[in-house]
Amino acid sequence: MNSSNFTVLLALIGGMLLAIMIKLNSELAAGLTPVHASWFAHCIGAMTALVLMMLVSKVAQLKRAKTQSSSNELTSDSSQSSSSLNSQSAPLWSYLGGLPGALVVIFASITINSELGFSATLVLGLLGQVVFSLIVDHLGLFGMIKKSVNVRQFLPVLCICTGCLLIIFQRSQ
Amino acid sequence: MMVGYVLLAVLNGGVIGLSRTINGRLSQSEGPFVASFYNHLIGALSLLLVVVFIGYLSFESVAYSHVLEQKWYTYLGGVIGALYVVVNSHIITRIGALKSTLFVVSGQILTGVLLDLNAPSLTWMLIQFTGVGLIIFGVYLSMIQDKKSLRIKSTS
Repeated sequence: MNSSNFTVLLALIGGMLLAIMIKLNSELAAGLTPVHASWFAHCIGAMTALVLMMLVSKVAQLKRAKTQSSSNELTSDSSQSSSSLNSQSAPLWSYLGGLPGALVVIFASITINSELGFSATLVLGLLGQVVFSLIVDHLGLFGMIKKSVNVRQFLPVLCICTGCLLIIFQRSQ
Repeated sequence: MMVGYVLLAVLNGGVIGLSRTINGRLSQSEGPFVASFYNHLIGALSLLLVVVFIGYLSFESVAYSHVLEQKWYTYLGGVIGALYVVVNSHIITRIGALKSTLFVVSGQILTGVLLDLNAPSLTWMLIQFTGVGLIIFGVYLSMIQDKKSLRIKSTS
């Protein structure tokens, strides 16, 4: 499997995790409140990510020590292997992704409890996500690689969105 | 009022995209695990403010006993959420915002279909199959386009 296929597979797995997460969180939200449930989820998520972060940096440290001891000549080579990382340091705003994340919970609980209901909230949210990410890619906003959007790309967008629409509305019946 | 809710729901989708993109930028410099950690830390802190605020206005309060009564596994949503942000922050730096949105949504909806498989009627089943087929075809199409554009780039 080449690396681009692997990334697509990873993205699909990401969606799978998201679906399971939403199912668990909404069950918790039904017992508590949406905001309380999301607060718990974020606290537990922060602890989980902290553990993972420490594990990963420990593994990276061990790897670095190993490559250094095996050949001191190749130290410049090992730094090149992590070239996918942006060499520029992270801007302050890039640490604040959790802020809009928290807003999502509040907005969603407003619209789900309005006359829109669950399905329309989901479909309209999908529309918002696609439009937003189109703009981000096209203009290369927020440090993302600029990828001009062309008409050809609209066919897969149309297929995926129509498929989602069919399934979401069918389920609400 | 309806129009207001519609706009809010679309805006919410944009905010979801914003959060993912910002995490992606942090992931470029610090890696996806760091991005996931700060996403949840900042999210927990800002939601704490909201929890305190609504508690102060006493809209809704949650008793401690209530917290313990919930099924234990519902609290695992946070663990899965941490993994999700790691995955999303990694892929968005590789395939861009649009593709990662499309593929993640595809995975999400397909999993939703699998999680509660039931077919009340033949029409119901046919519509679900059509939806699933369209999503898979769209993902396939998007992958093919990628390879074609790579080939064009390498020959020119």
